[in-house]
Amino acid sequence: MSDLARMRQPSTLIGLFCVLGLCAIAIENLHFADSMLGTTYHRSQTIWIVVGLIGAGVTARLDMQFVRRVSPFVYAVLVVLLFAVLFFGREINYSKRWLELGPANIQPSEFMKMSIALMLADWFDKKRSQTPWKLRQLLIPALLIGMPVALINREPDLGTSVCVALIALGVLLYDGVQRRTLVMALCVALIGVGLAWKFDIIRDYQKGRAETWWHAMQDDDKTPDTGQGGANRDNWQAEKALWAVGSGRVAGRGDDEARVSVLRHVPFVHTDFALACFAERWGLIGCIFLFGLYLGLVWWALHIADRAQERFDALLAIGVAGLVFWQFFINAGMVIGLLPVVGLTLPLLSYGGSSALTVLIGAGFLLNIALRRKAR
Amino acid sequence: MAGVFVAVLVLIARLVIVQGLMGANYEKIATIERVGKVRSQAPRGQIKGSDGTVLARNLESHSLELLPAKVKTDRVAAIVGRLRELLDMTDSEVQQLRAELVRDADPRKRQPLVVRRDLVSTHCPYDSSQLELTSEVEYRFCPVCGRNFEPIPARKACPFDQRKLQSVPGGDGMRCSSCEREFSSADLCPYDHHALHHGHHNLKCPLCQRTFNDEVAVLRANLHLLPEARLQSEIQREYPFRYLASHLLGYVGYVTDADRAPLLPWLPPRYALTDRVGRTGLERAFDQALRGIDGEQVVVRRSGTDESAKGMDDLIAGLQPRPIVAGLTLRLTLDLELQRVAKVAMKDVFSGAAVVIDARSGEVLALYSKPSFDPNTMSGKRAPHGKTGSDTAAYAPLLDKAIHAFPPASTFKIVAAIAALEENIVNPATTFHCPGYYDFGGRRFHCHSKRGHGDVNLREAIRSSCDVYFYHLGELLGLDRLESWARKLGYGELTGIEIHEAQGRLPTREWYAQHVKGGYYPGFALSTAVGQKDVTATPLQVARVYSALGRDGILPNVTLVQGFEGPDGKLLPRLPRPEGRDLPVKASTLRFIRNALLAVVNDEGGTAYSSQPTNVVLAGKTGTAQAAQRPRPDMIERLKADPLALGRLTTWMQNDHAWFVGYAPAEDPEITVAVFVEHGGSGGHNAAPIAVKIVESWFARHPHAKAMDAPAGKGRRKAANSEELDETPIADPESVPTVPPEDDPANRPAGEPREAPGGAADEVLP
Repeated sequence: MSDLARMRQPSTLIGLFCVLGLCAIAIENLHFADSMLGTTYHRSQTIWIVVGLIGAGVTARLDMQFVRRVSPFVYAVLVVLLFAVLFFGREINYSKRWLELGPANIQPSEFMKMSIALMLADWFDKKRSQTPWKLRQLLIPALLIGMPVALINREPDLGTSVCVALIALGVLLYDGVQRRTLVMALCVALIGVGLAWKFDIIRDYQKGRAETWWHAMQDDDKTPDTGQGGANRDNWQAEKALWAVGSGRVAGRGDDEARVSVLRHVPFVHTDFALACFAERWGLIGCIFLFGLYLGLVWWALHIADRAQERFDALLAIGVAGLVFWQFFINAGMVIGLLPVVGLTLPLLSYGGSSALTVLIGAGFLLNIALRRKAR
Repeated sequence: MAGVFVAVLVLIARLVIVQGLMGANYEKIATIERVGKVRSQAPRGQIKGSDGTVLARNLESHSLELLPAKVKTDRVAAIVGRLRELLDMTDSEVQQLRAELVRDADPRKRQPLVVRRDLVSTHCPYDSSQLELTSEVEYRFCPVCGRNFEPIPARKACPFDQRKLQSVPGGDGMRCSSCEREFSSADLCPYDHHALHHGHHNLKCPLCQRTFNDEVAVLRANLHLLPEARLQSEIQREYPFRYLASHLLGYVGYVTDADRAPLLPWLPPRYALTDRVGRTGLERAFDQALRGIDGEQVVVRRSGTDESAKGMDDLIAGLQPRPIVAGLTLRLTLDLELQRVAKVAMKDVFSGAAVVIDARSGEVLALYSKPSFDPNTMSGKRAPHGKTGSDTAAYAPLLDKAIHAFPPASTFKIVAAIAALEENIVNPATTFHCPGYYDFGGRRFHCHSKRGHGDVNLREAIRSSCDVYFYHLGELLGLDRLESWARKLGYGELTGIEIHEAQGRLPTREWYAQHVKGGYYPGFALSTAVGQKDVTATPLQVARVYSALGRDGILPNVTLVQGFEGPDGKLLPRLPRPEGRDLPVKASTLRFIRNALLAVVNDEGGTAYSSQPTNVVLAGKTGTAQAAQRPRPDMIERLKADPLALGRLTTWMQNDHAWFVGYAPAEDPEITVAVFVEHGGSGGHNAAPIAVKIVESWFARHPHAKAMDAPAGKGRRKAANSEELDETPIADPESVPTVPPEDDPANRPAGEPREAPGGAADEVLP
C-alpha cells in the first residue's frame, strides 16, 4: 500500500481532520480575541502553526531509528535549557518560562512533554521485560521524569510539571507495572505532592500567582470596585471565566455581544482561558464540537497505540495521547470550574508557539506510525 | 479509551450544567458585571463665619503621578526630560525623580509615584483666590534654586507694591524686600549664576499679582506623550484665611485603620479608604454633620452595544442609585473682623490667646491663639513656599491656648473675694495691712508691690491687686471653701464650647495628697487665693466667669456655632441651647465686685488704669502669674543649631504670664474679653492693651448708646469715672465702709430669684 493509500484510512483521516480543525479554530478564536483587545497574536500563531504543520510533515517521514538515537541528546539539551531558563529566562507574568532565541521566545518545558514521552518509550522498549515493572527497576525512569518535573516546577509552572508527570505516568501504566509497585508509587507520589504542597508550592507559586492577580487587578484602575469582592477572592479568575462560559448558553453569543461582555474581564483570553472565549461565542453546541475534535485526536492516538506493531511506537502514541488529553482535560476543567486554576494551555487553541509546535510534532509522530503500520 | 471517554463526558456534563442549566444565571451575573455601583463622595460642608464669610471650603486639587510598574528602563530619561520641560522642576527634583524611577524594587509592590501635588490650575497656591487669564507673561526660572524671576521693571520700583528694589547681593538681579519678588534681566541666576530657563505664564492672581502657568492644562495636553503618568484629582479641604482661625477650625487628615474600624465587628467599616476625617477643632467636633452621606452611582462599563444586553434596563432600574447628601454648612458665631483685630493686637507677643464672647449669650466672637498654624498644610496641601528656620515649634503652635489651662493668677482673686463676702468672713469695709509681704507658716509670701499697699479694704485690694489682702482671705477661708466657691462660680467645669477644651484644675486637699509629695500644706490655700500654685483655668473659662459677674450672675453656656445652614443658605432651626445657670451669689456681692472691677480700669491706682478704651467704659481684672521656667531639654536640643532662637526662648520663658479679663460696657456688658499672654510680663502692661484694642474695635463697629454720650479721649476718663461713681451707692471709695451690702435698700433681698438680666441691670442703674 502506498503512503497515499494509507493516508486514506478512516482513522488517519479522522485524526488529520481533528488536527487541522483545531488549527483553524485556534486561529479564528485568536483573531477574535485580538479584535477584542487590539492585539496581534493570531498572526504569529498562524506562522507557528504553519511551521508546526511543516514540522509534522517532516516528522512523519523521519526514520524512527534515527529519532530514537537522537532523543537522548534532545532530552539532555532540553534539561540544560530548563536550567538555563531558571537563570536567563525571560520573565512574563512573574514566572520565568521562556528563553529568548532570536525573534522567538521558546518554552523548553513544552518540548519536554514530547521528549519525555520519547525517552520513556525508548527506555521501556530497550529494557523490555515480560513481567510487569517492579519498583526498583523503575529507578532510572523515575530520575528521567523527576528531573524535568522539578526544574519546570521551579520556574514556576505547576501545570506543565504536573502534565509532564501525567504523560510519563500514562506511558508507564500502559507498559504495565506490578500492582504492588503501582500502589507504592502512588503512595510515594501522594506523599511527594503533600510535601511539595507544604514546603514549595504554597510558598512560591500559589502565593506568587495570588499576588500577580492582585496586582493585575490594581493596574486596571478603570475598573471601579463594585464591592462584590473582586480581587480579594482567590478564585477571581476562575469565576470570571465561568461567567463567560455560562453566558454562552446553548447557542453562544454574538461576537459583538461577546466583545463587550464579561470576557473583557477574563484574564489571558489568548492563552490559558482561550476556551472561555470560545465557549462564550459558540455555546454548548460549539463546545461539544470542540471537545469532539480533541476526543477524536486522542482516539486516533490510542487507536494507533492499539494497532502498533512495535512496542516503541505504541508507547510513543500513548505519550502523544497523554500530552493532548491531559492538557485538554486539565485546562478545560479549570475553565469550566471543575479543577483549580493552574497555568496550563489548551493544546493548539491557546496562543503559544512552543506548545503548538509540540502538539503538531506529536501529531507528526502519530502520522509516522500510522503510515508505517501496515508495511511490516 | 473508555477512561478518556468518561472524562470527556464529565466535561460535557459540566458544560451542560454551566451553559445549559445555569447559563441564564451566569449571563445575568455577567450583565451585572457591566453595570456597577460606584461610591461618590459627598462634598464636605463648608464652615462660615457669622457674616457668611467662608472659612473652610473644598477645592479640586490635582496631582501628577507616575506608575512605576509601567515605566520601562529605557523610557526613564525621556519621561524625566519631558516632565522637567513641562513642570519647571529643579535639578534636585529631577535627580530625585530619576533615582526613584530606576530604584531596584519589585514593580508590583510599588505605589504610584507622586511627581507633584497641588498643581496650579484655577486657584492661587498662595492665597487661594481665583486666578485670571492673562496674556503671556515672560519669566525666568532657575533650575538650581527654583526661584522665578520676572524681568526688571523700567522704573526701579516694584510694580506690585511700589517699594524700592534692592539689588541682590553678589548679583545683578533685583529684589523687592516687601513682597519678596525677584527680578532679573540677565540669563544667569543672580544667586547661583546658573543659566535660567525661559518660559511664559498665562495665569495671574488678582490678589497677590503673582503669575502662574496652568500646569493641569499643560499636562493634560501632553499626557499622550507620557503613557506612564496620570493626573489624579481629589477634593482638597481649603482654609482661605490660613492662620487666622486655625485652632478652632481644626484640620482634616486621611483615615487611619483605627478610624475605619467599625463600631461593632459585623458592621461595615465606617470610612472608605480615601476618606478624610476631621482631626481637631470644629472639623473633628462636627465631623459627622460636615461629612454628609456618600452616594452611590450606577455606572455602565464597557459601553458599545449596551442595548443588546438582556435585561440591562431592568438591572439599571433595579440598582437604585443613592443620591449624595452633601455635608451641612456650619455657621459660626465668630466675628471675623474681631478675630483679625485680635490677631493684629497680638502681633507683638510670642504666644498667647485672646477670647471674646458675647456676655449675654456666651457666643464666641473671637478665639485666637498664637502662634498659629496653617491648617491647609496640616490637611495635606502643598505649602506654596516652605517656611524654614522657624522656631515657632517652641511656642506650641498646635496648642489652642484659648482653651488650654494656665494659672489664672490675680484674675482668680474674685473667687476669694466673693467667697469671703458670701461667707461673711469680711465685709467691704474690712481692712488688712499690707507691708509688702505676709508671713505664714514660717514662709514669707510676697505681695507684687514690695513697698506694700498699706491699709487696704477689699475694693482697694481688688483694684490694686493686693496679694497680702488675699493671703489673709485665703487663710481665713481655707482651701476647701475656696475650691467649692470656685466651682460654684464656674471654674473647673467645661464651658460648653463645641471643640475639645481643657477643664482646668481646682486643687483640693485630696488632690494634693495624691499628687504632691508631702501632701497638703496650709500655705497652699494662700497661693490658691491669688490664683497661683496648682490652680489652672482656661482663658475661655475666665471670660465666661467674668461674663457672669458682669451680667448679674448668669453664667452663660459658651458656643461657637450659630447653627447649620440649609441648602438655601438660611439657618436651620437648631436645638435649644441649655440656659445659663445662676450663680448662687447675692446681688449685693455681685454689685460690689462689679464696682471693684470697674475701679481696676478706671480708678487711679487700678492695675489697668493706663489701659482705657476711648469709646466705651471697660471693667476688668489684670493678672500676672509667676511662671518663670527654663526651656525643656528637648527644646534646647532642637534649637541647638540656632543659639539666637534659643536665647530668645530662654529669655521669653523667664517672664510671667500676663492676663487681662474684662467686660464692656461696664454698666451693661455686651462683650467679655480675656487676653492671656504666655510669658508676656505683667497683666496691666502687656495683656490689658491688647484687650483694649479689641474692645475699641468692637465698639467702633457696634456703637453703644451710653458710650456714645461719653466724651472721647483722655478728658473722658474723669468724667466717666465720676458719672459711674454717682450711679451706684457703694461706688465711691470713701463710702464703702459705711454701707454693708446686706442692708442696702437698693438691693434685692438675698436669695430672691432674679428676673431677666436686662431688667435687673436697669433696676440697679437708674
